[in-house]
Amino acid sequence: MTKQEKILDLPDKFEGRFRCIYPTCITNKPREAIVPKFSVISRSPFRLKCHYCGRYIEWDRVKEQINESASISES
Amino acid sequence: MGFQNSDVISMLDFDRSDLETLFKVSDEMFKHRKTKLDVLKDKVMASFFYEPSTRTRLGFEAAMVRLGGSVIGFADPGSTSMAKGETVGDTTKMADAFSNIIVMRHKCEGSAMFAAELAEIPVINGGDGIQHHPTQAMIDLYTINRELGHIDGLHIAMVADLAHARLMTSLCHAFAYYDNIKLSTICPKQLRMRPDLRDYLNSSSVTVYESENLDDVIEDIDVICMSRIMPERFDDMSEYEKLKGSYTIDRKSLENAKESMIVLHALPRVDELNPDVDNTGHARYFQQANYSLPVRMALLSLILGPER
Repeated sequence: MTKQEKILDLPDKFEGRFRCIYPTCITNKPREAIVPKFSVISRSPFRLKCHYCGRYIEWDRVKEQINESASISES
Repeated sequence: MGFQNSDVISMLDFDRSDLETLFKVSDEMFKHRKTKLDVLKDKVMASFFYEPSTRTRLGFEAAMVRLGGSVIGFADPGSTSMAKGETVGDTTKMADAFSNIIVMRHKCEGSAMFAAELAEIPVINGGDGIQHHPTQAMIDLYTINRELGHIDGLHIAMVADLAHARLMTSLCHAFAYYDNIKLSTICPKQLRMRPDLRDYLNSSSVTVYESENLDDVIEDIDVICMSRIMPERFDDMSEYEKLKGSYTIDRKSLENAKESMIVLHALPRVDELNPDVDNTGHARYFQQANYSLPVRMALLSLILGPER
């Protein structure tokens, strides 16, 4: 599968997979029992929209989180 | 979509026909704003203000009392179990058991949506961070409609901190429901609207212009919607210090305005709106405050009262 095909194959929504990057989003408030949710609003460039705070998360910030979780699972 | 038992989280929850219903009932409530009705006599409103508020909190509490209902709640979370670390989620579930409706304000975006997901009773968003302030937008739209007789076709200037003013977001959402709206945003580049809101407007019929100078458009403007620059929303206070006072309106700046042009401001004002505008024919911000009570009475009665 090419990189482009992988992007097109992604779901339209993510639940619990990523975290919102904005500190004042309710999903970042400690101890609240809330699962971050995002919709994919663009695939090229890849961009997510937070279900709760409505703001965008660009690909470079999503990639950071993917790399973080990859390094955790490797260690 | 209708109001009966509905949450009020954002202006996107409603449509033009809902707003017309709200305006009609607000007209009726305007006649009763100094009396007491019994429409909600067996209802209790939980008023949960985690963030400072004067007009919104008192407005909702007064509206509930005028409709015959009662109010529980807090204006200072420091005096509640939140000071012991209780979460918004747990506090919401408690209110769900004690009351018939929750009105809340919180500094976190998405807090009202989260509460609405947890509560079985309706939740009204009295402001969540920089995101939404739907009930103030309803009041502003009612004021425009009442003062100018229509909303379609108007040229509206937002002289505001568009990056942080939740009211402006809610107004932008609603302007998309009207025909041929022209929207001029007037602010320094650093305070321009967020990309998500810009995309929303670009996909609507609203025509948007951006400028740093009100003089560029003042002759064509029908309504100015103002807000203060909000220090509480800045991560970096040095940035706020650079930008404060970067836009102001005074009597002189309105010299070339149409005679019929009106100025709205949800208040409180700091230095962005000079008191010398108060005695011009343009000032409508005190009328706007006066209309807030009937609009909130209308909203509560449409949500909790008998079906119309």
